[in-house]
Amino acid sequence: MLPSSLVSRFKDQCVLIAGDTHIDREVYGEVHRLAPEEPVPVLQITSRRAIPGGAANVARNISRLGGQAALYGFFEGDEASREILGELRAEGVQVLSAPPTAPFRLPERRRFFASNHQLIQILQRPAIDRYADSLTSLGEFAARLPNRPRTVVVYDQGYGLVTRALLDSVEALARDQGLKVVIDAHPEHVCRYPRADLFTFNANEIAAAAARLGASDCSLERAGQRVSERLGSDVLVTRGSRGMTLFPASGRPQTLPADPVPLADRAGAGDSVTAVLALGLSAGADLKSAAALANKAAATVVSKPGIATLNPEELLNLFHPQISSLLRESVAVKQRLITEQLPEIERVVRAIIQTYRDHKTVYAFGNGGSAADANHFITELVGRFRIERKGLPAFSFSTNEILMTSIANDYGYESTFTRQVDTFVKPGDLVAAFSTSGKSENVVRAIRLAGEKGATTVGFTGSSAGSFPDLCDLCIRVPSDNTPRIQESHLVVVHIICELLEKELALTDPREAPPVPARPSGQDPHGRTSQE
Amino acid sequence: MDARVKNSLECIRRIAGARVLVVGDVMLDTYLACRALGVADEAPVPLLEIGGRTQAPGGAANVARNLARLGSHTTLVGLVGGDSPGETVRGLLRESGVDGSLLETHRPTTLKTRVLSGDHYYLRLDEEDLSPLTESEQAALAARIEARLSEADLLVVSDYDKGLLSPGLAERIERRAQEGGCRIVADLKPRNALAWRHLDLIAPNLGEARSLCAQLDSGGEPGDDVEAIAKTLTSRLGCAVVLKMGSQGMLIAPPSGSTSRLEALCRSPVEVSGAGDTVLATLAAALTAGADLHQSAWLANLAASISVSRPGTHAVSAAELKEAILQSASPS
Repeated sequence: MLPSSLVSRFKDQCVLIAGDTHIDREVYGEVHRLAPEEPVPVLQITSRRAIPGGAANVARNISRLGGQAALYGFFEGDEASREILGELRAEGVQVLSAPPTAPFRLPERRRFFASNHQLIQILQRPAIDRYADSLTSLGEFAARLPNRPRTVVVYDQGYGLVTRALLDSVEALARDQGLKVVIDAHPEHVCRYPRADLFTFNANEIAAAAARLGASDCSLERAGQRVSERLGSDVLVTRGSRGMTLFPASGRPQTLPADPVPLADRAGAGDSVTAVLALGLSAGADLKSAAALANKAAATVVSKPGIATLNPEELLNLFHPQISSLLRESVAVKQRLITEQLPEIERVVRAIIQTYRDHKTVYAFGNGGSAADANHFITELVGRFRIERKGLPAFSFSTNEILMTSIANDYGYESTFTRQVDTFVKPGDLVAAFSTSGKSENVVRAIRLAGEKGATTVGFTGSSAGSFPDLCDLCIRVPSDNTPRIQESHLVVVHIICELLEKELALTDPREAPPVPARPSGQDPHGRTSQE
Repeated sequence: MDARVKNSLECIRRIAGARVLVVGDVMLDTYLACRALGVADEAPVPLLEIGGRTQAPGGAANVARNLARLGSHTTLVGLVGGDSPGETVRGLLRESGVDGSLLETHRPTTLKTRVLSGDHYYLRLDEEDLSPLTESEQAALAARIEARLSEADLLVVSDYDKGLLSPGLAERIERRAQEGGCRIVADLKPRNALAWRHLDLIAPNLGEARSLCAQLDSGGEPGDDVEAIAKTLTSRLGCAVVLKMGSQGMLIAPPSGSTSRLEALCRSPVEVSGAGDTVLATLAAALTAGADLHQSAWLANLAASISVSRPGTHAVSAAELKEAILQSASPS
């Protein structure tokens, strides 16, 4: 299974998150001087931003990734809690607050930035560090959720919500309802955790956890193995620019290198990793696939400033970068068509409508892919586009291979279209020539002759355009030099033209367009048959 | 007991009878006493944990607190926001015995927060809104100052350039002060100083004095001669000058006549922030008690030495000052 195919299943997943929440405050300012009393920078504060942190940030990440997050935390009536709850509600996260046993103040982490340069971090721990040992309502919360959660994340920052009682509730959910358990672990609590499907630590935390188990000053490898043995579970260590290392409960450790990206801000990346792991495991991924997905996610998040998140589209793009980039390129060309070509497209539509009001004919031609575009155009006119109507007289000079090879053989390839223009085109007809470069000799000759014969000439070309702008009365120039991008855009323009002129003729000339019969629903909007 | 000590003690006693009005920029000073935990996980910056938080009135509010500690009947007119720091300032002033007449405006309370770990000072965080006051706010402020000014023996102006004291307001205050025979002692940021024309005493630090001199001499860079700087200020502004020179002590320049110096008394200062406010408050309090310029400056210098030898922004009390006066006379 492709890791990316997991992403499309995120929207069906509900993840339960229980644990320590804090508020992350980013304080931005400017430093222009030192304090007069001592030579330290004076940060003149210009703006602030408050972001849900810890367990709440995992919930926010899950929500932004398309999943449903249910957060079990500890929120009292203090200002920071109110801010967080407002934020989480806006993100669509469901929240249940455990009852506090003492006056409570949500922990805070403040990060100070001068322009975008981080200066310092200041933590404020909660006012109390012991919570009720009776946090048993987690199971009831899980039962009340509209979607059954498949995974529970325990988020332990050592602020006190992750009590023995909470861990017991989590174990019960795992045992009785088969929930997977992911624990974002605190190194000092390494001895009290039950078995889980996955534990996550960062590099500093794994060293501290190993030290707690008597293995201090050892390599990261050794530390990870020691902790994973002790926990009897898989352990994932996030390592910043070194990627991540997976320590399976049994088997050899495996390192996933990080994608090289320009680093903007690493804060919160661990939370994004936890969120993707939880969603991945919920969606049925094995640990390695989930980790690969989380590793990619981390690289994206750290390349964004501030505490960032990512959406499913960004995650998918990472796995299919070429496809994504080609699609974006194609979209970009169409975007430029909007800014540059709208009036010209409108003029072409008007010209074709006039041609048909005068009971004249439309002709089109081109070579190769452009021949296909020309034929496509003619087909929409003679057949129908979206409305049931009589056929509009139109003819392609690129269709008849017997005629074309015969002319080419007798007169040369340059004459393949001039001979036909000379034979068929009458004054007042409209002739559309397709050439991405505007330089195909047979096309250029024929469009010149069409003009000389009194036809309205329309060119479909790219940004280089050759002699088209001089030879054609009207010219659609797709702002690109890339042949496939130009041809795709020609097709889009052809469809637009057909849609507009069909509507216009239907509205103003009932003879051209009889009343539209109801079409069975579910039919291709083109109403086409299989030969296309 | 020598005459100076006797006079000085008498002066401190008389402070309690005087009424002083302080007008200026009110702030809330916060000290975050932190513990350094190490380096943050995700960026190479210090990670601190807040251990304690102390708050003190700052700016003009600190001058007022100093005056009250010295025994003056002190009233303070200034601005706060309708926010919790504003409430904190009001509470702190009440505790200090200052009659706070603080006007609530659209601007949040000006905050200065110092981040410290032990003796190490990491960072100062300033938060302020310098948008102009609305017309009705300005009118309410002027009315309040004028009402309080009629009851005062002396006016202290404590300007931190936070937009409270507009030139128009300065003119109005001076006119009313002159009518009531109320002297004016001021700490002014150089760019606002020229709006004032009837001051009795200013107490700039050396940097401010230089910058003010440069303005008065239309851009000419003042030399290193501090006496010349003081002379320029006295002659151009027509007031006495007490020049605060930190570890170099003080220079006293009367409006006319020769200058004199006082040496700094504290050799190893612990915390210098707020010492300027102590100097201004002591000068003002001593003047209301009938001391002359030199005696006032001598007491201010003594008070400064007490202030800088204490951690945090320390307001010197009458009792502390009395004790220091007595010690100054005892042979050591």
